[in-house]
Amino acid sequence: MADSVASVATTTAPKRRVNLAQRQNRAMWWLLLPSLIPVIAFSVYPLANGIWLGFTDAAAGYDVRFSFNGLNNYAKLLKDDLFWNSFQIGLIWSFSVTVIQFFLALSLALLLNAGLRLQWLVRPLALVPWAMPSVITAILWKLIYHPDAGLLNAMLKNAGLITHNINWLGDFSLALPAVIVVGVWSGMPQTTIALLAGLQNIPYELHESAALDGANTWQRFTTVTWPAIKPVVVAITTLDFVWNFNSFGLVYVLTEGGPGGKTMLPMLFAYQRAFGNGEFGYASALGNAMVLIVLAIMGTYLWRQMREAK
Amino acid sequence: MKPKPYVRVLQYIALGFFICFLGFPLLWLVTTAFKSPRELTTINPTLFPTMPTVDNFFAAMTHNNLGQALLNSLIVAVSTAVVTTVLALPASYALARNRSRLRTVTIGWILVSQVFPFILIVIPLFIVLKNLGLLNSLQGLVLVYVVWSLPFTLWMLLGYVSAIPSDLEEAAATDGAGKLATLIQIIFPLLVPGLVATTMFAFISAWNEFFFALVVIQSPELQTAPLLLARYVGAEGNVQLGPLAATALITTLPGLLIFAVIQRKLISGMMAGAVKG
Amino acid sequence: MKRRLFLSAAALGTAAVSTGCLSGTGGSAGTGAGSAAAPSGAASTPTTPIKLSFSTYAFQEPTVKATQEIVDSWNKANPNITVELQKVDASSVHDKLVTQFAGGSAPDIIHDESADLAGFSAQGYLADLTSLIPAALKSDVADSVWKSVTYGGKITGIPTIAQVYNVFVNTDLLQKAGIAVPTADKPWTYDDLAANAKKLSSGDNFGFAWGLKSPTAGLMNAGLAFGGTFVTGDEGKPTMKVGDAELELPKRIMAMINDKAMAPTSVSMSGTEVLPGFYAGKYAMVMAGNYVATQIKSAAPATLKWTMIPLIKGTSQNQAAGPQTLSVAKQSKYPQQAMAFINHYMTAEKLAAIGIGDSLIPVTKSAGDIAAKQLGTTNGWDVILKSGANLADAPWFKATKFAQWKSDIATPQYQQFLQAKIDLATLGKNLSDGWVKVNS
Repeated sequence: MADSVASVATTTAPKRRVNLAQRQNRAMWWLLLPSLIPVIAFSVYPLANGIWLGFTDAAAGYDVRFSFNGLNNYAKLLKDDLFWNSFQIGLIWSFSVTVIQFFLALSLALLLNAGLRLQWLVRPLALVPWAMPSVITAILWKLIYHPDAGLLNAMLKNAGLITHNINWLGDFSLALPAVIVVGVWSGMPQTTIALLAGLQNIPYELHESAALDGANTWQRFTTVTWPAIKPVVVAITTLDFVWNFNSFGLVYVLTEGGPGGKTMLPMLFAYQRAFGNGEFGYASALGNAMVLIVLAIMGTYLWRQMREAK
Repeated sequence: MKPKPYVRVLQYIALGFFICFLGFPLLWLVTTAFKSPRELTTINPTLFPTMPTVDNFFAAMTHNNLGQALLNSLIVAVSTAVVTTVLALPASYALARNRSRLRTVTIGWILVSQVFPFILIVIPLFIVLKNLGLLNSLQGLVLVYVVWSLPFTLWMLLGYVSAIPSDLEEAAATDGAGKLATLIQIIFPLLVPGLVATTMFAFISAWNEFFFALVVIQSPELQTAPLLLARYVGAEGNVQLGPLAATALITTLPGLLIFAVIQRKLISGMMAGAVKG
Repeated sequence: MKRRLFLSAAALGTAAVSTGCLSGTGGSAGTGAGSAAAPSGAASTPTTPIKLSFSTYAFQEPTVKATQEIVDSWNKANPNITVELQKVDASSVHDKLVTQFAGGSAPDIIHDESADLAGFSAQGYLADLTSLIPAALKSDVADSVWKSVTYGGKITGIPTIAQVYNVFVNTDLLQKAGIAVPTADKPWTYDDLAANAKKLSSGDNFGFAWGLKSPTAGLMNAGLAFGGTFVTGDEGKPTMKVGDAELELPKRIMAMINDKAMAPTSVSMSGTEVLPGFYAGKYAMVMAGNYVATQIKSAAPATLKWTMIPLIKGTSQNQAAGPQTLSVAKQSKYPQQAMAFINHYMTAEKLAAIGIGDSLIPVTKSAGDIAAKQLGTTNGWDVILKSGANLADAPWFKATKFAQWKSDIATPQYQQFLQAKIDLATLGKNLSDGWVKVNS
């Protein structure tokens, strides 16, 4: 009896396994379908269209037809001083915001992980910039930076640090740093949370055993904490750099790229070309160029992720 | 392993700096909303209003129909959160449980879509919406928001689902439970904390969004709360500061409240995502 | 099998949306829609009710009220032609129009300003209104103002209200310093302005401030007082000459800054950002577009006594005319009715209400008279309303590449000059070289 049951089991098992795999596959497609359709219509297609526009001479105009013009836009791009200016500013901005933000966020994450008493206040506060729409952040900081009626000058004057009002967002040398401060403020929560998650992932025993071995705070940081969070650090700083390079809304409301183009981030420049001059083709080419640059920077991270996913 | 006292002092000083740096602008926003127009243009601003007034809130509500804008924002944000979760949940399950090429492509799309700048898609997206008759409609806006929150939501949910061992499902299957029953009774309850976090995150992203709404919404009665802010900024930097601050404060409140609630879940979500993604 | 089904569905979906290529013809019925498709007769009541959309960036409260009143009175008188008011925020008028034109969803009646019309006119998005303007309206507006809205020989916008840059003075401070407020027949020259500003300056308080964050408009438009016309030649290939006349006003401004008669921080503030300083008595005199009067009226402390003085004289008191305009979109299906609404807007009392609301000069003589009667001599309004006669056509607005030159070259160059990063000669050279580059 047991023999026959066993033999039945072995003979029918392979057929069952194949059906299961097929059913699983089909089930998977059904689960994915509702997401795929809107994604293709509203994300993939417009993106593809946008990329294609970068190879055309599309421009604003009633009854205007546009045509493929190959790499002309890119040739023009390479010769455009204003493009190189915005590219340079984009690099300075991304690099500064990412690095400063990283150090501040790491400090804050370490503090939040240190079991201090005011945690109930600081944790939600750390998220405030993320909760605020970027438009509001920009308007708020514009008020703070106002030369005559702004808080910053008032505080600095009361502290005796300056005598004349400074126009933070209008001065040629101060505008980019002023804007970078806002960028750091605005992006801190994401970085802080990511680092905090990484820190909390470290088992307490590791810290304990290091302390027992005689390590002080700094040594514990370099031998236990830093190696453990390194993957998170790489991930979040790469993503931060990408997000920052593509940043548009915040700086647009703050300065619109001025004064004299000193805060003209790449995306602001592309926006100006598209909406100010109606050069849709050229602006799309700019966008394409930005993407290539960013992808090149992100190259290693993406490659690693794709391989892990397989 | 208590740190030495002087280290503790330094830590509290540093913490104080962060409290100021992060919280001060918010405080400024709150107090500005309660200042009268005369006070807002003085040359020596004080932190707290000398003559607090709630006029700004009334002005925002009546003159520019803040109530209607808030309702619109609520409709859009709730719809986005619900639809995004409904779409992302089965999709993330399918991707987590099946290691196929599509999964790699999807992860690639998730990451790549973070890279693509807004400028590349604004006009093509506008045309797509127009052809579907979805321009100047809240539905069109919701669709756009859903598609654009999907990457991050999928990422987070993928992490959460991957954290649930598949042995649980296999055990249930050998116990004779059907696939659907397994999903509902075993998997779903475990996902609830992650779902809550992602839903709320989608809500806030939709609530705060400004630039897509600016392009899509034309009629004043359909405007969402952030769009209302732009109304207070006239030409040449002409700003009605009081109502602007009041509107800004009200618009920021949901974000603050929600983030205060989900901060823990958000952290664990990013943990899961960073590790498993 | 499921996979194939899915793929074909996707293909179908993509094909459906791919008809929406970026072609610019959008929803209009083709090239003939502009003039030929309109029914015969003027604003004849159509048999089926139609809806017109009217976008406006009116921002200051009295103007918004006046605009709403105009729309309401029209809708009451024309039950079959409903005008729907769309409020646009002033800072994104241009960008929104770009998207709307590209997508074929532009409003029928568009409120914009003449300086912005050059690009859209050249791109063919605005209807030619020349033949639709009633004779009465034509004669009620000065020729120089009509010239300022004519592009390629076509009038693509009806001018409504115009701005001048004038000086607002704190009368108490002037009295204390023993300076008399100038009258219409004896206006100040720029020399007088500089001398008086110096008298009024001491320590951290300055006699004069000008919010020149967007310097090009102010310096070029007001610079017409020295005869700087910048652009010559035909509209197709205009050449730019930046000579002494063109550089005179920037030179004078810089001189005032160096003389400590003018607040150096004001040149990087916007027109309204300098107001808090004016209210507090930090700046005795402020140059701004006269629309600022509405704000001063509502936000200044009650103790502030102020007035507007006559336009400052260079070689003349002329300034560039850059009025706000009402245009009709080429895409509009009902241009005749749209123009009828514009005529309604332009009736004397209605236009006067708009002008008074925004503190700007109505361009029609009849509306100007009504405004003069209502405003009397308060805050120097009688003088300002008369200065409508000083509005001159600015040739540079016609050049199609002006907007690009302004944002790419002129604005950064002027900003650098005002912050003493480059000198006058370099400014002139860069402006003209930049013009050549932009037009190549």
